[in-house]
Amino acid sequence: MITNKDTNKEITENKNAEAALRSILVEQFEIADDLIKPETSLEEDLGLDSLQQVELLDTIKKKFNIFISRREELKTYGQLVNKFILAYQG
Amino acid sequence: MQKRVVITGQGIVAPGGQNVHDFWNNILSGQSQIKPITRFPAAEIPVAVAGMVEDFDPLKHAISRQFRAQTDVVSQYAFVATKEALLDAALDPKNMGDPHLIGFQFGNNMGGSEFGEKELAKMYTAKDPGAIGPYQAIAWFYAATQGQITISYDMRGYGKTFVTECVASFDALNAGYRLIRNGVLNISLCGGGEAGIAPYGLVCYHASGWLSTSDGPPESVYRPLDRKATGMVMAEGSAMVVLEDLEHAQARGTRILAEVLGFGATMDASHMMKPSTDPGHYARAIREALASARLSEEEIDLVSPAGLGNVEYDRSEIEALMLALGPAAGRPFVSVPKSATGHGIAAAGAIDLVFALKAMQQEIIAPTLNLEEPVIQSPLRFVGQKPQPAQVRTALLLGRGMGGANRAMIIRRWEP
Repeated sequence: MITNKDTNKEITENKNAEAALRSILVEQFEIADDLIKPETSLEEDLGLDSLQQVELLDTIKKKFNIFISRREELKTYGQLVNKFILAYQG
Repeated sequence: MQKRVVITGQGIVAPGGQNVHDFWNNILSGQSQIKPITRFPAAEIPVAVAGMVEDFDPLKHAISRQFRAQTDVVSQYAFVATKEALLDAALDPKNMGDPHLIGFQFGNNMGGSEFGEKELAKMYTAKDPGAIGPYQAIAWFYAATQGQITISYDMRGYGKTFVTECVASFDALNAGYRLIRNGVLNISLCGGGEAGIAPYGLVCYHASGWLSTSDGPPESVYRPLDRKATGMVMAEGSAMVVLEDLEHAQARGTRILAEVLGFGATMDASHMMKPSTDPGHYARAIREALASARLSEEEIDLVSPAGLGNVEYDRSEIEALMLALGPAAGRPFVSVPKSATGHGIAAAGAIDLVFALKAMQQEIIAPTLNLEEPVIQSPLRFVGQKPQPAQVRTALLLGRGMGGANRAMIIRRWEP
């Protein structure tokens, strides 16, 4: 299920959903910016185990009011960005 | 053949210092570390003071982002104490051969209760179970610290967490001692940690009736063994030591601090909250420790009592010492340095062990604050407000907890 009830200020202002996601990974998860590419695996390349992925999706939910389920295919950073943008536009 | 077990490293985070050196120097200075609780609004809790770890910065201790996010501060204290103990023992668990021969035994009574308390508050405030963060499940429980630290250092040998309240450190140390003595492990990180200076932890302990509600000057509230004792003052922190098979320690040429000689353990089997007024059960634990250490009463140089700071319990503790040591009761020095820090609950035994190891190393015993007039007349030789220079070859460490648990541990300074 994807919800986007509020217009989120952060996204409307910089018009860049990808940058918003990236900044969570860099600032909250302390991941080096240059490691984050569309084909990057969340688990194998970025070291986000299942619990940390829950933390990431939880942060996205709290920050942007966008719910992305872990039941969906979610292996790479690119997949995460696509889901995020889709949810944001929806 | 049973192995001999030695202590090769020590580490601590406690009121007064976030490493052994700073901690020990602050305690020797005779300055009380007990202060008013100001980190949260505590007006409705009638407990005014505690021994707190101040200005703890996980970044300064190089604790990783993942560890910080996933743990209560109790696990972070224990991580720092473990790191120091390993460094002190010149030990890198990842470079010690088979990781299954390195274990971890930890005493902890309140788990990550502050972490859990905050998450539950979020849930009840938002009326939404989804408000609970993803790490609640792995941060609050007692064995969380053991899990996180063994992952950090790849320690794969037998690990266990002991939730035996004020004697939990002793149970952890005893388990590590037995595992090494019986050849199951070469090395075990042993000790305890506690972080209960938060509303939930304080309220629970207050309900037990053990904590002092005195509103006197903070530094004078905790008065172990003194006639005017008004109750215990809670402390937080963690102390960890490296226990090691003597031959293993000698083979790698590391410095040895002390040998663990033996333990004694009994239960009063009388009351959930109150230690028995019959000192016989406690005395028996002390005698068991002496027997397992193969020492006579005259061979103890330093006694570190539980010092719960309750007139009734302290009286029976002194009586138990007189009973167990007999005519030799007046020989050893008796000191309660935790009078300066507060009682670390599950961490207390390991913190007392650091006091004893430092006394052996530096030939000076840390003072007992606020012991003006002992609760009963006895031949015991108490150390007062000033540090006591002394040759400490052997030390008897004592613990006493809720449910009537009595513990005794004996160590001897290493003399090659």
